[in-house]
Amino acid sequence: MTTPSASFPRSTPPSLLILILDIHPLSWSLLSSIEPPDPLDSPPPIAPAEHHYLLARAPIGPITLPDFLNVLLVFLNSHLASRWGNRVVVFAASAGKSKLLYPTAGGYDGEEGPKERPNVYSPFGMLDQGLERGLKDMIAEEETRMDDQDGEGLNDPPAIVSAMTKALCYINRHSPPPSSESTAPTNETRILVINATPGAGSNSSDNSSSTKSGGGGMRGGYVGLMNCVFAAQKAKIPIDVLTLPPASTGTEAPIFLQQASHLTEGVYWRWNGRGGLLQYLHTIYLAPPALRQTPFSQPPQDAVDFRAVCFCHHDVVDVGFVCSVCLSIFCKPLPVCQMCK
Amino acid sequence: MAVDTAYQPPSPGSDDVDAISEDDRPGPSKRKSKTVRSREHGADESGRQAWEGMYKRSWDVVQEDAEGGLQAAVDSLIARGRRKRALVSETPLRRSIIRHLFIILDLSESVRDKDFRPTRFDLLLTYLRTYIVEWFDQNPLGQVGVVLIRDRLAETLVPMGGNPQDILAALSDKRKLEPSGEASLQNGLLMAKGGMAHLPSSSSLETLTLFSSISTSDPDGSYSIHQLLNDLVQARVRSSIISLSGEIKICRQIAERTGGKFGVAMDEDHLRELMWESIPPPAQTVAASTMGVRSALAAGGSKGAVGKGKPPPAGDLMIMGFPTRLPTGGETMCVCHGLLKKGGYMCPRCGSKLCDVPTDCEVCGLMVVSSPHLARSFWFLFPVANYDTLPYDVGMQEFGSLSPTCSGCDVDFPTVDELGLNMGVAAQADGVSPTGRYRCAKCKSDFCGDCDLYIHDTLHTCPGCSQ
Repeated sequence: MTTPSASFPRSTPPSLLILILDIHPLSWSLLSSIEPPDPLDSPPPIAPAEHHYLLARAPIGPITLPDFLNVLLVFLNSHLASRWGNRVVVFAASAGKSKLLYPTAGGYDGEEGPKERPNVYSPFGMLDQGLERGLKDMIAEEETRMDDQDGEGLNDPPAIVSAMTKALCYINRHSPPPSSESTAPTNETRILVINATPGAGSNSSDNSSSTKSGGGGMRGGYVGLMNCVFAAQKAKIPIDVLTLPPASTGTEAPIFLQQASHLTEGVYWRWNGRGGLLQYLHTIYLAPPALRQTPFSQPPQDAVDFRAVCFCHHDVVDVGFVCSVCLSIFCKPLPVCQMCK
Repeated sequence: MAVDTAYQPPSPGSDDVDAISEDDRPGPSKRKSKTVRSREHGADESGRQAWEGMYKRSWDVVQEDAEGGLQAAVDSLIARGRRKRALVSETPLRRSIIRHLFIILDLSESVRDKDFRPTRFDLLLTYLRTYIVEWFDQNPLGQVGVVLIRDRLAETLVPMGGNPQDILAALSDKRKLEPSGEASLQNGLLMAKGGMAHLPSSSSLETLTLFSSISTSDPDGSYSIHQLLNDLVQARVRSSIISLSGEIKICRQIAERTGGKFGVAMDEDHLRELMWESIPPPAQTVAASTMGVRSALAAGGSKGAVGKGKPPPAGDLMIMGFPTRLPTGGETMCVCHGLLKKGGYMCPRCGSKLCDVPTDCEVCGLMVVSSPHLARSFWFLFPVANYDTLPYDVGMQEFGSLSPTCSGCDVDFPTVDELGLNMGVAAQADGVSPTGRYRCAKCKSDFCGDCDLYIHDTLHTCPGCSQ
């Protein structure tokens, strides 16, 4: 503790990682069909440093959900392995629905429990099998649900907000905030959102079709997400966000998730589409929050867009009309505030 | 100076004897606090003083279960206490969210009294620091200033501002806060009123006086405290006063006429309770005029009309900009200080760089706030409706179709057998669900008691409805 720059805790408490995985079918089909951009579009840098050159040479390629899950399981296992007492909880958010995948709530309802494999460290085995099972169950459920509704709900945005509320409830139940400030540091908790949907919570407000998919998702979602953010802020839980659709797809960044991670002092990072996901996950998201500044370091955070959604048309606005009484945001001046009349 | 040193504040005990008359009981009993709390002290409902009341045999309330254990009873008591907190009124209120508050802190000799531990002075400062943090947490667009009253004078310790750190820094410097002399309530209020004179009527103007003396020594002259009271009423300054010693008539008068609250703190916890009552935004009683759109438009159209120093036009809709936060790369010049700084926010209208938000843009006069600042108040607008309890018989009938776990935290609900066991204790609790389930009327999801409380207290979003 001599100099502030070199001070970091020698040991960190066991940490609970809550993962929110976006498994929206449309987003993943988009991700698995990323095409490398036209090389003529992006001129190479004038005098590329060697790593720039290498990075630019790595092809932008697609990623599929099974591929990503392989990467993810390695990441989660290394979280379990990095400290005794570390735990993982996984929520999945699909189109308009969210579910707890791991640990399975009611134990194994089937006849056989998880198969004990002698060559696998048992927490790894439990996580791998439990997650795989949970995910398969949920995907099957979703398939029947989509069939029943004739694909009606398919255009719903992923229920990340719902998953986040559940995650916060889970945290509140299992590791409640310490009653007074003086008590010893309790378990560390953080939320990692893996977002596969481009521009979730954002939409280009000019055409109406995108308003339906993107803006509609923030219908209750913007307020809900903000409420989650403040609840997380109160409990000092950082929300880390990994956005998968690379910028090269020409899609917008999810500005509200970006705001969320900024406000809760989490890490926001957008994949560049050039592979190396496991490495990125490990270098950016594996370190517990207390060690992120030193001895590790974070990627520089982008400019954060603090735009808001208006309550009347659910458009994203940068200059809006705000009721002086209730602070509702409108994109057009109204004679009387709609919210508080 | 001789007068000041000779002045000895009477002990609160001797003061109480003449202060308390038939209807002048200590404050909080008169206006019932919104949150019903079991209070061991203070006058009880029948109008008697606490020491005249019957001693409540709290152990008679507790009943043992079949095996003679108390765990179930204790649990239900805890649950009941929590439910009471959770059940808030659902009537929509028009709340003032843009608040301006002056805290008037009495620093007369009387704050050295030790009837509050460790002393009134230390306690007030400690509480004020947490109060400021909490206040800004709930009123992100509000501004706070601090006025000190001592030596019969008022001085502004911190002018009206939106940065809690400034206030905390000022409050932690004890050398500047040395108590001395007597307090003048009139000067304090006048200073606070003057400090808010430039503010628009659309925001809520408030003062909170932490008054420790038992008298106010006001200046001689034609302008008396009663005239000041009239002026305060006219300027719609809501003045709340918390007295640490006893009830003082003028304080009660000021608080009642200006729409504030008056309370006498009985002990440390009660003082905290009284202070914290003023944190949530007050309901707006006076309807603001609805002429504002034109002026808002005018402000939007003519740049610089809402320049620095001039208040934004009073009205219903204000034009606000939501900036982009710049990455902390290189240093650039900011328009507010003219200094090279890293980071900052970019005004969405004119593109100039501002150091901090919320603020008015120096160049185009646009009010720049970050949207999360606004979002903090959204839960007032979209509150989660109270969950219904699931009656025992309904729970029994539909048991097969109910979800086995809480929709929030995935904890298991009690099964039929467990319910049967605890029936005797759980059924009598008011507001507590006998089945342990609380159901959202909208999405029909069931939640456990813990989640119910968390959702309504902190999260303000129903996990079921948001999916």
